[in-house]
Amino acid sequence: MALSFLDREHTVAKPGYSRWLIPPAALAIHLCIGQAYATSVYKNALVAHFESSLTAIGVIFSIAIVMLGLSAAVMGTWVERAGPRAAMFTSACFWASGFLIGALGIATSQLWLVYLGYGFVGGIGLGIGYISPVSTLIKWFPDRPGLATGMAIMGFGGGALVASPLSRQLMAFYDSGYDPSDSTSVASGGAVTSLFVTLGIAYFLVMMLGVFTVRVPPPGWAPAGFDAAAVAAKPMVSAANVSAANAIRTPQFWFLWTVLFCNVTAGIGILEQAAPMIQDFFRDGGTSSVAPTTAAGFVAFLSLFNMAGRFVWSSTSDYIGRKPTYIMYLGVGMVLYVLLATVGHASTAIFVLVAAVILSFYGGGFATIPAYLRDLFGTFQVGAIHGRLLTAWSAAGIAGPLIINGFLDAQGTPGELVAADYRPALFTMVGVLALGFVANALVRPVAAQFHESPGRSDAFVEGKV
Amino acid sequence: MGEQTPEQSSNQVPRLVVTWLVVTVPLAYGLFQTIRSVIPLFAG
Repeated sequence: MALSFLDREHTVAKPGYSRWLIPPAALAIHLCIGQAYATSVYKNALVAHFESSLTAIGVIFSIAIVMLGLSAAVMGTWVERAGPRAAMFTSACFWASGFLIGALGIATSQLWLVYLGYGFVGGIGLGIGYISPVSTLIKWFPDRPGLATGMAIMGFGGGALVASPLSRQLMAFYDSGYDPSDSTSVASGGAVTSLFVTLGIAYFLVMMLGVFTVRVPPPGWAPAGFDAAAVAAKPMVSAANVSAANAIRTPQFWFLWTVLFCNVTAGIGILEQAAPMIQDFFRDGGTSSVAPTTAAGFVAFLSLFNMAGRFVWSSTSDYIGRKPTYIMYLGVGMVLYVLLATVGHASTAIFVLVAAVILSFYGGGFATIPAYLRDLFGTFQVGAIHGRLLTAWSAAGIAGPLIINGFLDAQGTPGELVAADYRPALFTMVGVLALGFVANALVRPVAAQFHESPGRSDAFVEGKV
Repeated sequence: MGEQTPEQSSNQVPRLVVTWLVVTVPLAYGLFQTIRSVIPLFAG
C-alpha cells in the first residue's frame, strides 16, 4: 500500500541511527502546531473582515484548544499503536487542511467554515501532533526523558514566537496598506486568506521533515551506558507498565490531572491578562506609567520565559526528580503569587521578574508532565495517558480566564483598574496552586494490581494486539 | 544493543546538521524578533 511507509514496523530504526535526529523531528511538529498561540496576530483583521466581535473570533481558538484536548484523549491509544510517523502525518494533514478550509471560509466570508477548518479540523491536528512524538522521545531517551520532552514541548512555545512576527510580515507582503509596526493598522481579509494558505502549505512541508525523520528504537534498544536498574531504583520511578485504560482508574492519574490543571490555571491567569495587568499595576490617578509598547514588550518577555521554562525546568527534573520539581512549581509559585499581590506594585522590576518566573513554571509544568507519567506508568502507553491528561489543559483554559476575568469584572471597568483590584484574583490563584500542591504531595507509586504483564506490553508495541 | 559506532555516527552528521538547521533557524528568527520587541520594556 502507498502509505505503508507510515506503519510502525517501517519506522523501526536501523542499527546506528542517531537518537539526536528524534528531537528535531519532534520540534518540526511542535514548532508548527505552536502557531495556535499566535492567533491574536490576525484577530483584529478577522473581526473587521467578518464585521464580528472579538468574542466570536475568539471562539475559533477556543474550539481548537478544546479539540486539542479531546483528540489527544480519544486518539492517544491509536497514536501509540500506529506509531509516531503515522501520527505525525495525520497531524500534518489535519493541521494543513484546517488552514486551507479556514482560508476558504475567510475568502467566502463564512465564519462557520473558519470554525470548522482552523478550529475543528486544525484542532484535531493539534491534539494528535502534540502527543505524537512524546512516547517515542521517552523511549529514545530513557536516561533523560525530561530533557527530551522538554525540547519538544519547548517547540510548542517557540512556535508562537516564530508565527507571530512571520504572520505580520506575510500580511504586510500580501496587503501593502497594512503596517505591522502600527498597532492600529488592520490587514485585509484577502491578506489573512493568503496568510492561511501560505502557513498551511509551509507547515505541511516542515512537518514532513518530522514524518520522514522520526524512528522508533528497535526492541530492547538502550543508549550506551544506560542502566535501567539504576533508574528504576530512584524514588517514584517504576519499571512496570500501566495501560491507558488502567491509568485513568488510578488515583495517581487524577492527582496529576489536578496538578496540571492547577498549574495551567494559575499561569493562564497572568498570560491572559499580561498587557493590561502591567499597565494597571502602575496606574496612578487614572494614568499608567507603563506605555502600550512597554506592555507589549512585557508580553514578549513572558513568552520567552514560558518557552525557556519548558526546556530548563524539564531538564532539571531529570536530576532532582519529578515530584520535587512540581513541589517547586506549585510551592514557590504560591510564594511568587503572594509577592505579586502584595509588593508587585512597588517596582516594575519586581513585577516583571516575579511574573516571568511564574510563567517559566507554567511552561515547565507542561514539559515535565510526560516524564512524570513515564516515571509512574512506564513507557507502554505513556503517549495515550498523556493525551488523556491534556483534558486538564482544556479545562484550565476555561477556568483560568473565568477566574481572572470574573474577579476583575467585579472590581471595576478595564482601563481604570489598579493593583489592589487584582488581589482577590491573585490570592484565589494561590489557593488553586495550594490545591495542586496537595495533589502532588499525595502522588505515590502505582499499585501492582494495575501493572501489565511484560508479554502484553511488548506485543502491543510490536503491533500484535 | 549499544548506541552506535563512531563510523555510523559520522555518516549521519550531514543529516543531523540539516535536520537541526531546519528547526533552529526559524526558532532563532522568532527569538530575535521577540527579543527586539522586549527592548522597550527595559528601555524606559
